[in-house]
Amino acid sequence: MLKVSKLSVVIDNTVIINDISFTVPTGETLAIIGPSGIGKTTLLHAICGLIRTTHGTVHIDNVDITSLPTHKRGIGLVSQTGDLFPTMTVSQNIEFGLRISKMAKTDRAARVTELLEMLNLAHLAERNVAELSGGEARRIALARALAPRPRVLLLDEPLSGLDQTTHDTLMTDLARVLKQTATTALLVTHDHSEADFLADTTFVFPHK
Amino acid sequence: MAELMERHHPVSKTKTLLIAPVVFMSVFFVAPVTNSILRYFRFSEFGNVLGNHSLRGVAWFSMWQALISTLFTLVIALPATWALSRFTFPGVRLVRGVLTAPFVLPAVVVAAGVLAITDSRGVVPVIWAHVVFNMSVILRIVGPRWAMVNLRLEHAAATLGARPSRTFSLVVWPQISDAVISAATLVFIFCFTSFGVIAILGGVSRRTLESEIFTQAVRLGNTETATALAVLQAVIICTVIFIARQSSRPNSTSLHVSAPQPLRTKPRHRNTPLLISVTAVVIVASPLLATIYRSLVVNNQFSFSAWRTIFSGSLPALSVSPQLVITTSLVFAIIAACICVPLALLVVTTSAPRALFSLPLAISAATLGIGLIITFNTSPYAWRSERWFIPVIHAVIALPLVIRALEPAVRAIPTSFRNASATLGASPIATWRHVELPLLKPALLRATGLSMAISLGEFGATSFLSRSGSTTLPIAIAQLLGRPGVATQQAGFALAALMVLVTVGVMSRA
Repeated sequence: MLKVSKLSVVIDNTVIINDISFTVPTGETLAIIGPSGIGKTTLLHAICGLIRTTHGTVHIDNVDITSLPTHKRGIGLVSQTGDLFPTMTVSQNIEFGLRISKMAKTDRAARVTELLEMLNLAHLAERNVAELSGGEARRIALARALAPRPRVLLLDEPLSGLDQTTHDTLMTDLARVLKQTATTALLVTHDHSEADFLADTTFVFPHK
Repeated sequence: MAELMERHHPVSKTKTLLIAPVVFMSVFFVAPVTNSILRYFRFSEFGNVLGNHSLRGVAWFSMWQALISTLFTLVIALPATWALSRFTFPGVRLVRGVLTAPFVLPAVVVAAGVLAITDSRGVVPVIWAHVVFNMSVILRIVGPRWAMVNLRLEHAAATLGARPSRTFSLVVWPQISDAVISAATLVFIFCFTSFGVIAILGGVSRRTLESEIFTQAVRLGNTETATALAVLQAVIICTVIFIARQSSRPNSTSLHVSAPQPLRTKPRHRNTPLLISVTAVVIVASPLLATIYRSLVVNNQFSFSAWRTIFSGSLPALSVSPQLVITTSLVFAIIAACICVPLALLVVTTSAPRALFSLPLAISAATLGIGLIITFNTSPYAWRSERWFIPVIHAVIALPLVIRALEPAVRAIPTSFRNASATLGASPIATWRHVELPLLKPALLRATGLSMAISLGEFGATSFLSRSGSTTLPIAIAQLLGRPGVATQQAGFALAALMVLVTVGVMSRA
């Protein structure tokens, strides 16, 4: 369970997020809806520790993680741009978090294969990430974020900028994977239809 | 966002790592230069220097040869810059490569090349060598700016009736003038502090302040005069920089890169850029090719004897074998790169004070040289005669340029990669090792090549430190070309040709 309590973020004397609270029950998906530029990405960055919170706390399974560094929080993030590492192949990208956690090589290979098959990516395993289409890159980014089995997965507009067909296919697959893996997920989006399709609960981002 | 980057940047988190480059520069650059000035600079000696007819002549020669060298460099380099930034034609990359290569070549090699053609010393060969050496400064600084001048503005001026010369003076020049002034200032400073070129081409009568500092400090043991000359040189350099900054107005026009135009079909339009490019290539490449020619031809006879000598023989003019000189230079270059590149990486990935690491660009090698022989002369810091000391000083001199070579690559790594890595469980150090370092690999290779090229060619500070067991290639070339005898001279040209090949080889692989 992810619990965000009275969270505020102030950067350079500008209030970006003001006193926001919500809870995402274990295994469920909460969608936060709001227009561009309102601070949705900042909220996700604050939850996973990429920026410092000014006030408030973040708990996962009743453990306060507010002061932990990002890499110790166990929170995965799929960003709008995917951010695949260009010096690694598709498999190496997915394997990255597992290597960092020092998982045994055979177990890593099995997990990578499992995710590649789950997301219909097996044929791309050894592909250079520069050769991927936009939709393929988003799938790899999702597989990479899921690989270390994060306690919470943050999805930052994961379907934006895709053509309609790719968007719809990936949205269906994303819903399936989130259910299949029983992942606790927080989705931010400006698209109500995405929120309705993917989330168990929706939450409108409050205006500052 | 600044907070975000600071918190998650691997190295900035461990500020202690900053200590290494700061201590390194303080010990091997700031301390010796400051020490020499504090201990040996006397205002009375400054007066003596200004009152000495011979030394005043040296200062005057330094000034006017630098001015004329700068003017000739501009006259030849600016049209070439125009041709290369405005047009594209078969071989344009080769032309650009040839014109920019001499910047990483040792000054003594460029000087040896000019000597190979002119077979005489004096002002004209000095100016030619300076033009060859500095052409790339203009190309590298002015070229990108000229490419950003909106071609449509020139077309608009032409349709309003402006001749090409008026278009240039009214539309182009205001947009490139600050880059030209900045480049010309650098060229002036390089020529003003010229040492390697003067050592080979100056002959007995032509000396710059830089070479006179060496003579006074090392040959005559007159440290006070040498220090006064170093201060005079620094004052003149600061004045030139000040004047240049006053006359340079940063451009606020919105610029965008215009794609280079294919050469037009009309012969007049086609031939001008080609002619300019070919002329510039001939001026720059001929001395370099001449070193190879002179190393292979003696008395109109083709011979490998000089090459055999440098690889397996010995030369009376050198106190050590040429093979040892080559090995020493390569080992020094590798050690210098091993010191310089990691330090530069630390500087660019931390908030290290940049001004400190730019100092070797503003203070001449001879000024540093005096500081080194004064400061590291007594136990327990009597390091000036130690062999390891030379590559350390090479690393100091290479550091500012290697930092500039690495900085864009480090800045180009998107913060989002670090964020992605952190959310996958990687600590800042793991992120640096697994994500950033692989991305930096090409830039690190280039930086290593640059560091090695600078070390291989360093002449000024090495002249103060070199001993018979630690003679480097540029020192050996200057010694050989300064002695009479056909075989000796030919061996000097062979070593210079070897340096051309090694430097081009190192830089092309990097």
